Formats: sequence, structure tokens, C-alpha cells
Amino acid sequence: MLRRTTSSRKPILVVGGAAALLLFACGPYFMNGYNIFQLTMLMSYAIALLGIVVLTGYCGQFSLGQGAFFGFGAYVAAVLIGKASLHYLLVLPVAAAASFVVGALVSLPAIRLKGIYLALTTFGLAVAFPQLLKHPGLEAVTGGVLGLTVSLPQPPEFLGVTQDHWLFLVSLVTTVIAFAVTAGLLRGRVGRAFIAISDNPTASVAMGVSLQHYKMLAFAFSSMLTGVAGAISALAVRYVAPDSFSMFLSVTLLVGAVVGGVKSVWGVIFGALFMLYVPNIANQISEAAPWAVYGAALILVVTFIPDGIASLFDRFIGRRRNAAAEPTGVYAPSGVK
Amino acid sequence: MTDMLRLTGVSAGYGKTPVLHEVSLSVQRGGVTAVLGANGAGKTTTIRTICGLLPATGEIAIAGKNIVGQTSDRIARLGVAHVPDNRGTFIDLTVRENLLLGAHTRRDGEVEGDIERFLELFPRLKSRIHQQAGNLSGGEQQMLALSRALMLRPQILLLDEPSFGLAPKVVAEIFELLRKVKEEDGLSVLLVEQNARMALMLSDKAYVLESGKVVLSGDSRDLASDDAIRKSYLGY
Amino acid sequence: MGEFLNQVLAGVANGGIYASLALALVMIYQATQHINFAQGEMATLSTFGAWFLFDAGMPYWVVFALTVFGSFIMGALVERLVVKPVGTASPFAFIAVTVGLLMIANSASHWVGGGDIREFPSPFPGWLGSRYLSAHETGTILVTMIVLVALLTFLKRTPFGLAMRAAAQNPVSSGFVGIRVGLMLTIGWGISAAIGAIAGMMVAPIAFLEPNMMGSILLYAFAGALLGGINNPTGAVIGSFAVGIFENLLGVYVTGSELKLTSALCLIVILLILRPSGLFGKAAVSRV
Repeated sequence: MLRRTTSSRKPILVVGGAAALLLFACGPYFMNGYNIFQLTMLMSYAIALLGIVVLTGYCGQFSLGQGAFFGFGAYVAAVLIGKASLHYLLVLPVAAAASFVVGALVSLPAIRLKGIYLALTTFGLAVAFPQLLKHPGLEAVTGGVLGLTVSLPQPPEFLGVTQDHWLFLVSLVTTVIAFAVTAGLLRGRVGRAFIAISDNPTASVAMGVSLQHYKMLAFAFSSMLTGVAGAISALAVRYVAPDSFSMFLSVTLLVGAVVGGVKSVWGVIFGALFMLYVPNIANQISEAAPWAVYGAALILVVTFIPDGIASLFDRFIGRRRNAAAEPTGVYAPSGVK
Repeated sequence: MTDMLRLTGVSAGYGKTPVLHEVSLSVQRGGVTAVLGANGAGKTTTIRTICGLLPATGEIAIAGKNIVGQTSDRIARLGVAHVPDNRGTFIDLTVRENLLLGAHTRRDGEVEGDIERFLELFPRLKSRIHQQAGNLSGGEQQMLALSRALMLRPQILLLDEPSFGLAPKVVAEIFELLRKVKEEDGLSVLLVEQNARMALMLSDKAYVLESGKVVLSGDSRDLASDDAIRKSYLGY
Repeated sequence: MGEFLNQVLAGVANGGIYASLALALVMIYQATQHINFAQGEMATLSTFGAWFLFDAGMPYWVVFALTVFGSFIMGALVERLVVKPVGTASPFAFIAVTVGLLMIANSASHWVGGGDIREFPSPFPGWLGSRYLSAHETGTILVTMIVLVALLTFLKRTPFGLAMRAAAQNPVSSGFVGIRVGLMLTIGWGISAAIGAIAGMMVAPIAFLEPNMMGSILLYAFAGALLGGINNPTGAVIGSFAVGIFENLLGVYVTGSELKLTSALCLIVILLILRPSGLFGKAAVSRV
């Protein structure tokens, strides 16, 4: 949660945060192309995870379909660049807008469903998306099973940076904007409405919070973020194909959000790191069964740090947390709304 | 003869916040003890601590056996029945299923007979016997909660604010049942109440809590008849 | 008309398979108020276990009994060792754990089974077969019905089943009436793993035993369970048959087989919008 930090620690955080950002921004000067690519993917994942934090962490709407929105944004980017020859700087905003609209459309049926029914529906979306992409009827646009290649944007001459580095910078700016807008949204009236809907939908309605409108906003905003993330990934990977955006991606995104802390804006950084590096590490630990290692890592993180890695840092910097809730039995059947 | 329930120097709290400080009280066998006090005085915390929901220091003895550190289901199996302040109804189960659950720990054959008895006592429950318990009104849920607790055939009944939010007529029905059960079955009762007047009428002795400490205790009749105490501590 | 009936019955046959796994999902939901994403993979692992027992020469029904029992133990152990430590954290944590289990179980199946596709025996005598349904398909439907009746009886008519449902819905109040909530959860996982094993042994003769056998079946079973109402075993079975029929009819007559999953899900979503708690589910009472 965006809790207020105790005032004594705040300056340290701000300075520390700014320093980290600066360091991060300068990173590519010292790295090769592949590593820069990884950092760009890191940012892409982080933005996608922000979408989940808004939708699921704050508004309590459980979505297993974020992979579809990610893929949608990626395909929008690929199609716009490849077929429409749109200037790449415009691709991200257009992808964002398109994803926002699609998110709003998807929310129309989604807001009537709750808990696992919503989960199933969004899961269905995640499964359906690659199938739709492969459908012969849409092949002209989507490239069918083979997908589309994406040409890498060329940096402006005067900056003197490589293509990878340029994409990194564009992504960095996007990421900063995404974080700023999200944090601003969540800190304000909208964020409070989301939390109210998540905590106590009945009371929210009684207090005049229009459930439908805010839920739609949550879906639309979160799919906008996820779509932008997908667009960045398309530019970075330079290729989109239906099977890259399978249900598996949706699951990995959710997992990343949980690891970082599903209610934490800053936690997405840890979630993105997990998503990016743990599969590789798992592969190194066991070539035969990398997914078992990934699964084990996941279980371990969730067992020992159930509120996500961000909660460790919360404690470190002394954020005020909500008082311990009522003690409950073995599993609190606190369903998702 | 050992007390049915005895707390000695019990301190407890939620996380790092201590709520009860060295509370000592007792309920005699077959007796009714009232625990009074304003909101936030620690009354509900006391009951929750007895039921094992909160970690505690000190000693809590049921018929002489210390139960500090035990889980709530083990405490229930010792014959301790609890009616929480939120009724604790199994809202998605039927009225009948709620009653059956009260008898979960019993192995005798008289469960059906007991269910009949409570349905006779509370006709409103009888008319809704197969409905989802969550559909019941506050008063009906309280009757159900009380019946469910008594289905345990407990040695001691812990009641957390049974009159809260209920119409006076319903409160009267409930207290009447309590009186009957106390006289006929020799049940020991710990009664936490904000309605001090009714609690003192029903109980033998009473304790008054303030900020998690016992500030006053004594025979219920004495407390009720002492004007000064009534006005300053009991609010009437 | 004959062709249409064929397709409907083919859907019913598939539905029987989905229903058997759906019952496992319903069981775990009744016991814990959560969905176990690893249900399908655990069932596959159980089925591999059964295969090895067959390979060792044991008769079918002995293997069946041992597998069901062994799976019960496996489910109970998983609950004690992996799920319980996560505790009350959050429903998201629970999902993450079951996803982790899914991956581990799938890897275990790969390790145990290699990449091979294996045949799996069917116990049903030939005379069960008819023009429309094979002996095994008929047998699967029968077994699913038996499991359904057993599950219903257990949950609705035994004190133990009642205690299990109570423990899932309201652990605090359950403690107050003396229910060992932790034990209920462990047994709940055990039972649902056992049902999953039965589902696996019904699926394998048709789908052939390989590590990804249950992948899409889990989705159909999930859809069927929700369509029927996740709290309702009978509804889950009916829902699963409905899913099987829709999927087949849509695939043959409307959209072609690539999109049949998508279209089936669309249909389900529409139905859920009209009846948000499933066709036969009880709307959760929401009194404040």
C-alpha cells in the first residue's frame, strides 16, 4: 500500500531513489547490447506489473488475462510499425490508447463477475488470445502463426547512442511517466475509491462510489499500462508471435506481481527482476527441470515473504502498517472480490 | 471446589499492543459472572483470550486445568462454548446445519432431541430450519448462536455482548433462556455485557474493566444497589 | 439428425472426462475456498504412478485402489508441507503456491515419464460400448456419477463432511465448536487429490498418458465447475457435460476446431454474466 513514510526517513528515500534512477539511466553506457535489452525488458515487465497492482492489488479485481493485454499492445506496436509505418515514438502512446479502450470494453462484461468467476473469464481471455491471433481470418494483419517482425527504431543522430540504448532511454522515460501517473492516481481520490471497492463493495456503494465506473477505470488503466509494456517488449524483442503471449505469460505476470507484493507500486521492480532472472537461474541450476526450480523458488518466496518482497523494505524503512487484523483460523477464506 | 473458570494475572494483546493487563477473575461452578465496562475496556479481548485466539501470559484454568497456549478447538473440546459478539454464524449453511455443528464434539445419541428442544424454544428458528442462516435477522442469528453454543452441552458458556443491537423484546427472550439454563442445567456462564443492568440481574458476581484492568469487583447485588458505583462505573 | 446426435454424444463423452476433474476442483474449493491450479498436473502424476504399478503386473482394480489411496496421502502431505506454511497470507499467495506446485508436478511427470506417450488400460468390458459411446466413455460417465454421489453424500449427509464445509467457510467459528480446522484442510486436499487420480485414470486411456495430458482438460473442467456453480458438485458435473457438448458442437458447426475453446469460453462468459454464480450456484448471501 502507498503508506506514508515517517518523515525522518523521507529525505533519505528521495535522494536514494533519485541516485538509483540516475545510476540506472547511465547503466547502458557500460553494458553490451544484450544486457541493455534485458534492462529494457525489465522495465517492460515492471510496467505490466504496475497494471496488476492497480487492478488486483488496489481494486481487488482478480485478472488472469494480463498476458492478453500485453500481447495486444505488442501486436499493436508491431502492426503499426510494420504495416502502417508509424513513427515509433508515436507507437507507444497509440498502443496505450488502444489498450485503454480494449480494457474498457473487456471490463463491460467483467465488472459483473466476481472472484473466481472473473478469474475464469480473464483466464479464458488469456487462452483465447493466441488462438485468435492464429486464426486464418486475421492472418493478413497478425501474420498468423509465424507472427511479425519489428524493425528496431533508429536513434536520432545527435545523441550518438546505439539502437538498443535509444530504446532503453525511450522505455525509461515511459517507465518514469507510468510510475508517476500510477502513483498519482492511486494516492488520490481514485486510489481511495479502488481500495474502498476492494475492502467493502457494499459500503462503497452506500457511500456513493460508483462501483461500475471505478472498476471500468481500473480495468482500462491497468490494460493501458500492460499494453504499453507489451509494445515496449515488441520493440525490444523485434518479433511478435502468438505463442509468446500464451496463458503462461498471464500466469508468470501474476506470479511476478505476488512476488513483488501485489499491493505495492515499488514492489513491481522486484517482481520484474524475478520474472527476468529466475527462469535463467533455474535453467542453470537444473537443465532437466528448470520449471520445477522456478516453481520451488516461487513457493519459497511466497511462504517466507507472503506480502511480497516490497514488504521487507516497508519494514526496513519503518513505514506505518495497518494494525494486525483480527486473528483468524488456518486459512482466512478471504476471497477475492 | 475449584472454580469453573479462573484467570490469574492474564495479560494479552494484538501484536505488540497490550490490551489486557494482569486481569484476574473467576466463575464458580454453576455461577454466572458478569464482565462489564465501556467500549474498548477489554471485555471482548478477555473472551477471545480465554478461547485461545490471542497469545496470553498468566494462567487461565478451566476446572483447574491451565489452557493458556491451547488452540481454540481444543479449548472447545474441554466443554467451553463461545457465543462471539458477531454471532459467528455459518452464513452459507442452513439453520439446521448450524445447530448440528454445535454438536460436533458430541458422541451421544441425543443430538436430535436437543435440536428439537431449541426449535421449540425459538419458533422463529423452527420456521427457517432449512434456510441459509445468513438470511436471518440479527435477533434470530443471536438465538441461533446461543442454541449452537448450548448444543455443545458445555460446562461453561462464554457470552460476548448477547444483547448488542437487539430489540428489547428479543433481549428479554434471550436472558430468559439463560436464566432457565442456569437453573436447570447448572451451567456456568461468563457474561460480557454493556447492558450492565440486565447483566447484574442475571449474575452472581461482576467485574468492571477499564482500559484492560479490573477496577471493581464484587457481588452483583451489592454493585447494583450501590448508587455511587452505578453512576460512575455502570452508567445508570 | 443422426450426425447431430453423434456430435452431442461425443460432447457428452468429453464432458464425462471434464466432470471427473471438475469434481476434484469442487472438492478442493469446498474444503478451502480456493482453486488448486495444480489439480490437473497432480492427477497426471498419480496416473503415471498407476502406470508403473500396471507395468509391474498388478491387476487393474488393485492398482486403482492403491493409486487412489496413494494420491490421498500425496495430497495430504502437500497440504501439510507446502500449503499450510503459507497460511493466511492472501488468496494471491495461495494462487502463486498452486502455480508453483503445477510447475513442480509437471516437471516431475516429465522426469518420471520422459517424453514418451504411453497407452493406459481401461477396465471397462466391451459390452458397455454402444453405437454412440465406447465402452470406456460409458464407463467414465458411470464412474463420474459414482464419485458424484459419494461426494454429495459425504459433504451433505455426514457430520464429517459438514465439519469440512464449515471449516472452509468460517474457520474461527469452526474452532469454537471444536472442529480441527487444520485437519479438515489436510483431508480436503487428500480427497481432492484422490478424485483427481480417478479422473486421470479415466482420461489416460483416451488421451494417452503423457506429461501434458491434463493441460487443456483442466481449463474445461474449471469452466464446467464454474458454469455449474463452484459450490455445487451436481452443478459442476452438469456444467462439465454442457461444456463438452458446447465445445464439440461449436467446433463442428460454427467455428472450426481451432477456435472451439475460445468460443466455448465466450459462451460460458455470457452465461456467467446472466447468472453470475453459475447456473446452479447459490448466490452468496451478502448481509452487512
